[in-house]
Amino acid sequence: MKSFIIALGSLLVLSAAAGLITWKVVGAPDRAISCDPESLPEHHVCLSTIRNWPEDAILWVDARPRAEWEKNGVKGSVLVNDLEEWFDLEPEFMMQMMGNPRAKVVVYCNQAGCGSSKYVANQLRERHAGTLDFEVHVLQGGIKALLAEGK
Amino acid sequence: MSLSAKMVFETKLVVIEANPDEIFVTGEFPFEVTGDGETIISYDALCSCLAGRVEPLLPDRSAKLNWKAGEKGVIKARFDTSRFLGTVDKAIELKLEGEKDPIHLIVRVNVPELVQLKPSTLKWDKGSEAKEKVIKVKINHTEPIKILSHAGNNEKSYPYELKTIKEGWEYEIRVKPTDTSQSGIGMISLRTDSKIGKFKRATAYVTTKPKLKMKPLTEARE
Repeated sequence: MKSFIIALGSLLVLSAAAGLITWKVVGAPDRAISCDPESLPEHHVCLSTIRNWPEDAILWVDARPRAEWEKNGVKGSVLVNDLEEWFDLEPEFMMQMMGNPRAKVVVYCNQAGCGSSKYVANQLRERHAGTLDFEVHVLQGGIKALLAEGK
Repeated sequence: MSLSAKMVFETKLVVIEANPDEIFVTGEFPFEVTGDGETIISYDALCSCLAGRVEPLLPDRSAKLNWKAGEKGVIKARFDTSRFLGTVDKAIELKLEGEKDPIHLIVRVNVPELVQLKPSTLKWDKGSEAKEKVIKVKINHTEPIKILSHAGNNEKSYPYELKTIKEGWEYEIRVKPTDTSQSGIGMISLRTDSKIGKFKRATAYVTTKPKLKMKPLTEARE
């Protein structure tokens, strides 16, 4: 029994040491959401692509429920979702875009399939993008992609 | 027919053309169970605007989750259109026992826009000629919708005139900024006599702004 415990302990110590060495050599595990720019749906964009754009060229739009936007929305983002009245939320977006024009709008929601970011992006694109000269994109992976990046 | 484990759906996408005054519409996804039967773990709507239901119900009115081979049923998705305009996709996420990936049953609803502003935004480039521009207001309905009142929040810089072309059907908002040498923004709000909540209000936007110096980037797929 004693030798079994010693063997088990040794195994645990060796495993921990191997893990630590891997961490030091290879680095922390990659928790980023995978995103292939070549296979994205129309108007969708990978976070890695967005990171190559100038930050001041982007207005982030949070299409999640208000409580979640208040909890961990992107700094400087505007709330435009399909849970509240469109006419109550749209003015703040428009004031942001007209007061400080940006070339790009990136909309994100909670998860793949929630549909909110796609809907909000379509509405903004159809109503205002042509006149105000901006592009509207949907962030692939939504808030999960941003959280995985540690932002 | 799309095969998903042992639950075979006739379609996973239902397209509905909603009537303007229709608040709730329902998409139906008929299915047949094959093989050894199927167990539904969950069927969740990914939006509070959507409610899923598996039919037929059990005698006690609860959802039938265990299905035998050869049985037929339907998943119904009841969609609340009250906050939406244009085309909207919402999904029911169906998880089946032993299946790693969920099935998404998509309801695509086209909700008509009864009070249409074209364009909904007017823009003048900073320093350009302060020419009059026009927003056309068109009623896309079988009954007239009248504009009851209107107001601008920056009439000093963006004086406007609401012109009735055909009462209840067609209007124009004519805007001529007083000065385009400075950036500016404004809103023009309309109130209508529509019986449908989301068409009781409409908003137009006006702005004067410098031309963007940076050309929009196009890395994302368009």
